[in-house]
Amino acid sequence: MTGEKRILLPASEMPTHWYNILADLDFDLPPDLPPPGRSDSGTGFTLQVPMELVRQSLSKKRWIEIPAPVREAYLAWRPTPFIRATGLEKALDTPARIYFKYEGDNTSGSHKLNTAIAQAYYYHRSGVKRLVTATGAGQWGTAVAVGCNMFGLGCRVYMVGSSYRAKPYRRTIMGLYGAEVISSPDPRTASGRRFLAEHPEGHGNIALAIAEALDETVERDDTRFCIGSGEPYSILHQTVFGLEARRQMEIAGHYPDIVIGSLGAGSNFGGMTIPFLADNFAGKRAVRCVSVEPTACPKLTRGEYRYDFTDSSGVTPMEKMYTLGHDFATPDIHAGGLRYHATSKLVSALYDRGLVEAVAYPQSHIFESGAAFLRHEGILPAPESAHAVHGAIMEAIAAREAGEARTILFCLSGHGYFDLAAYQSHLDGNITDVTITDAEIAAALARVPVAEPAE
Amino acid sequence: MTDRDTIATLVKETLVREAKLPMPATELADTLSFNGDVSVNSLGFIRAVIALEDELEIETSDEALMQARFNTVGELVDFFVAAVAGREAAE
Repeated sequence: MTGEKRILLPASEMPTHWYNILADLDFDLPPDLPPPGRSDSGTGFTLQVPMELVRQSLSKKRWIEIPAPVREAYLAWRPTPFIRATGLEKALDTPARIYFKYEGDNTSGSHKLNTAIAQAYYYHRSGVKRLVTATGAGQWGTAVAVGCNMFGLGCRVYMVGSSYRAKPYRRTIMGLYGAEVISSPDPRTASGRRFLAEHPEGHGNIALAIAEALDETVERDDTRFCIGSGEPYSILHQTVFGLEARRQMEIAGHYPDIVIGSLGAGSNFGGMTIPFLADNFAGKRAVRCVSVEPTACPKLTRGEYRYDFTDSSGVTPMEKMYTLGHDFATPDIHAGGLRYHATSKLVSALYDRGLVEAVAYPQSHIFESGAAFLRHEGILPAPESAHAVHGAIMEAIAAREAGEARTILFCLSGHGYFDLAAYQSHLDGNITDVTITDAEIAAALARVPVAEPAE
Repeated sequence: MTDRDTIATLVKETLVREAKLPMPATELADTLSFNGDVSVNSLGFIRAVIALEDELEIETSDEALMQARFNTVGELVDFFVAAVAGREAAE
């Protein structure tokens, strides 16, 4: 054991390949299905996603090389720090060792940049001139703006309206990178008009923002939509930080008993845990992988494993995943990045087979832990990342109660310095918790068409 | 050199199989339009492209594929005829 507080890797130890878990699963992911009763070919076919990304989502190759321009871009901030949370350990009076991988130390402020740069590279290489996307909390939108700026692509971001209003400086940083930021719902898009007609005072959510961004790709030949989190290629790209963490853990002289990540659509949780799951599959280890989601958007802990749409429009291909229903009205919590109605088909399949665990906590507890982390470790977590912090604290308390020196690792996926309005609400005692009833979930799921593969 | 008819037959058989079309490949005329005559969804289309890459031993250029718009069955056949010609010229 080195006993060091921070473990840094030299540039020469940054991974040269992403790890593809599909090579080591003893099952195939359920196939996507076309939306019922719909053909997409009304105006001829254009491909929306570069074939290289499609191939990455289907490939059984264990290691996929990171292209040189992407590696070069990564080196601006990678390898990222790996830190022992000694201040937190002391405050909790726990025998547990708590480590975290910090992915917030880049211009976008989160792990999202790892795939945004890779995706911008592949779209640029395919001759695409402009990307459009949707963002909940603003982290993904910022990351895409950075990637587009890097490869000379135009960029428009549909930002969930509540975040748009609460985080004006997120808009500023995206604007500085040349992106145009639109508040969702927007009456200029078909999906926005439809939503506003039904919910004049509605705030929208990330599924609606995605639907609005997709509307644009129908209208403009030069524009494609890129997605932040749920697709296997996005999770693949995020393994770069889990692989670094595994190496840094080795240098620290320990192996984690528990690996924790917050859960939205799945790329943060997948990127952190999948390299460790590989050791489980190889029979070398038995690490517990724990996802932490908000009680206000409990897709794994209370959702259903079934086919559903990936946005609120009901016209996208359907994926088999844990879902609350594509038009589930997610309460307006501060962790906008975790408000997606479902989680990725890959994480869903892992959970369905008992290979990963899930817990859910209310946001008042999350903000308590986020603020405590600032006081003891000097970094303010984004509200999304504070879910992982809280999960780690709960595990450290459990270790204390059991009297066991367990090793806990979590991903601090982003900083919260654009989330100060939310933390001010915490200081003012204005963070409220929302209770979702079983009836609300059942009603949203009842609106999802029943679909299963023909064979 | 692989002739157009051979490639056309393979493209049509693959499209029928992967996109689960309700007609035999022999009825899939080049002139049929994706804008009404033939109902194909994007997932079936991608599956067909991947299968054709394997069967024709080609890797389609991301740029060529992303910039193309296929309105008819014949345009899709032409795309793969050009891709095979490119591979054979390089050999």
